[in-house]
Amino acid sequence: MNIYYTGSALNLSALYMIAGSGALISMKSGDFNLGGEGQIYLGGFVSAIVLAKLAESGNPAMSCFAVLTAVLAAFICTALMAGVSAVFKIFRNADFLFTSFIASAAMIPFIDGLVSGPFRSTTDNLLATPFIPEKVRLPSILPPSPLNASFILALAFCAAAWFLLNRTAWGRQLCILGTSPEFSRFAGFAGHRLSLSSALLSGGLHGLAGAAAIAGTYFTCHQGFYSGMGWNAFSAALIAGANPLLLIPSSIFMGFITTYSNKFALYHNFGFDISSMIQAVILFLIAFKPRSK
Amino acid sequence: MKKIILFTTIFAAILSMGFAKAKKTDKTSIAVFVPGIIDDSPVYNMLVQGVKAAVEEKNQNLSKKEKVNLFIMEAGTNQAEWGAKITALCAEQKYDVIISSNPSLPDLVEPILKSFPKQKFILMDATKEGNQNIHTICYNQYEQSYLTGYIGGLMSKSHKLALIAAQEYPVMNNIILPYFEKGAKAANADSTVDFRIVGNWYDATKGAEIADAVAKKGVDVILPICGGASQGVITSAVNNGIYVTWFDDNGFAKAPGTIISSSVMKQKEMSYNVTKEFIEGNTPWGTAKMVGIKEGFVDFVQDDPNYIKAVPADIREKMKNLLDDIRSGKTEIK
Repeated sequence: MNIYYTGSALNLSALYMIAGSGALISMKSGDFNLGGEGQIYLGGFVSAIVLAKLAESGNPAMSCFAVLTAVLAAFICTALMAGVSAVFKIFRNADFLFTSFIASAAMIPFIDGLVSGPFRSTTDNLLATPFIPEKVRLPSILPPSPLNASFILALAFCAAAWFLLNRTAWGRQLCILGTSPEFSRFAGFAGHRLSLSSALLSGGLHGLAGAAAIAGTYFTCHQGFYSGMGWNAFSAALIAGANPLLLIPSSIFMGFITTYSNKFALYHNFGFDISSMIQAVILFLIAFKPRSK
Repeated sequence: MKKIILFTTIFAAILSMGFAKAKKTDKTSIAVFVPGIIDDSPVYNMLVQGVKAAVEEKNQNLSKKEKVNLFIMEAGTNQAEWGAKITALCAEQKYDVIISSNPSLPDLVEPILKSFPKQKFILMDATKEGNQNIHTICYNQYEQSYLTGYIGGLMSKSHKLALIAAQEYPVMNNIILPYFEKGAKAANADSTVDFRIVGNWYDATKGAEIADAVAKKGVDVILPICGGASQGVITSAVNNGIYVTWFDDNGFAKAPGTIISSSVMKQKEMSYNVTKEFIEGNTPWGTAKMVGIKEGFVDFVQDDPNYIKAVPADIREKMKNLLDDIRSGKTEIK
């Protein structure tokens, strides 16, 4: 059994599950958060900086504080990033899909500049922030593959998202808002508050996916580490449709597709876009609805 | 239902690929890890050519069963993926050695060796001493930078030079930039060097913008070390009528008349040597070697017609004298 590739695929799936939970919550509210790439990058960047700075000392209490602060910082920064789009939607009737995408497109080069500039590690030759200390890295599950504890956390996130949407008043109201905004207004739901809170949660979860990627896989914020992660998580959420629990198989599916198409491209000297093409074909087949008779 | 069947079939097919086990044969297997794109980079092109030449030479008189296996992996420019891709190569457990070239690789390779303690690496253009799984060779960039700065200083009329780098890194900050400046000042004490960063290794548009900006400030000689972005610097230099000094390979043909020098590293010869050394079992594991002008692996191109055309005879004479002094040991750049 090729443990390395199986573990890599599952590890990627975990990141898709966390970010996909965010994408799915946004979809349920009737909005599409297309800013996943930038939000993952921002969450990863913030957590990498916080972990590298705060966990320098050997103090275990300080390490715990560093992890908590990094997770919170990643969540809050990315929640605010998505929240800005929600605010524009509420007060200026701007399209959330469009503004979230634009915000992400603006954020990526900004972080690129920070990574290659003031926050770049000065001790090695990479375009990346300093490596985070070993004591704050997520424990490995299947060495030598990158699979780590974030996989278990990701399963918990999917279950929590399901519970939130299906077993709480907020979740039910959000689903109704997404399905029929007019009805939700008629029912007296606080539509603006629901839109804003779902955007904040969606952004925050994307940020947590970035933090998980740093703490479990990369251990540093490489310039461009997010590449494709946001879109694949979004695809997984689309495949899962209305059910966060279905995000688990759909993310695993996307993780395996990505990992093995990349492997195929690498070992058969195909262009690097072959993996995206394979994914696109499969997603097209999945999304294709036969004409009703 | 059809959708579920399709989904399951594809997934099962992919999953089954994960169970394919790599086979380690008795034959010698070599992998070349290219941290970039071969066609984009003369340095990686030379690396691949050199390894290929050594393997082909070895395979000439061998039967199919005895032939040395060679696999070349092109990893692309996203540094975030390099670690995973090197790990993937190691996980195959069928390559006796992985040969590569990049200053950042020792940092990436060392943690991976904890999981694959038998894997061997030969890394060029890098320095790492004391690890029995790694042998490194670096080129004397003190000499390369000094020579480039020296001719830049001699050719500049404004005495304003610029170095446009893709990113900052220890070799850039501690060797290339200071020795480029040192060489320029040795040619003319009034020389200054403006140091600029592109922020990546591919953005030719940004490279051109930075070159335009420094040209407006009076800079008339630029050294670009920014991969694909260098093409933008050359285009800008041609448009602004200023000079470019070139690093690592012979670049005169890229812009005759604009490119005034090429300080080269003999990567093809070196990669051929290290591959041959490995095949013969003579690799000095755990050591770091530095090679320069004296050893014949760093050079300054003097016989290119474009060099003779672009650079006045008195300056060519000064360059020749400096090179002769370095070769003879009379002058040491350190």
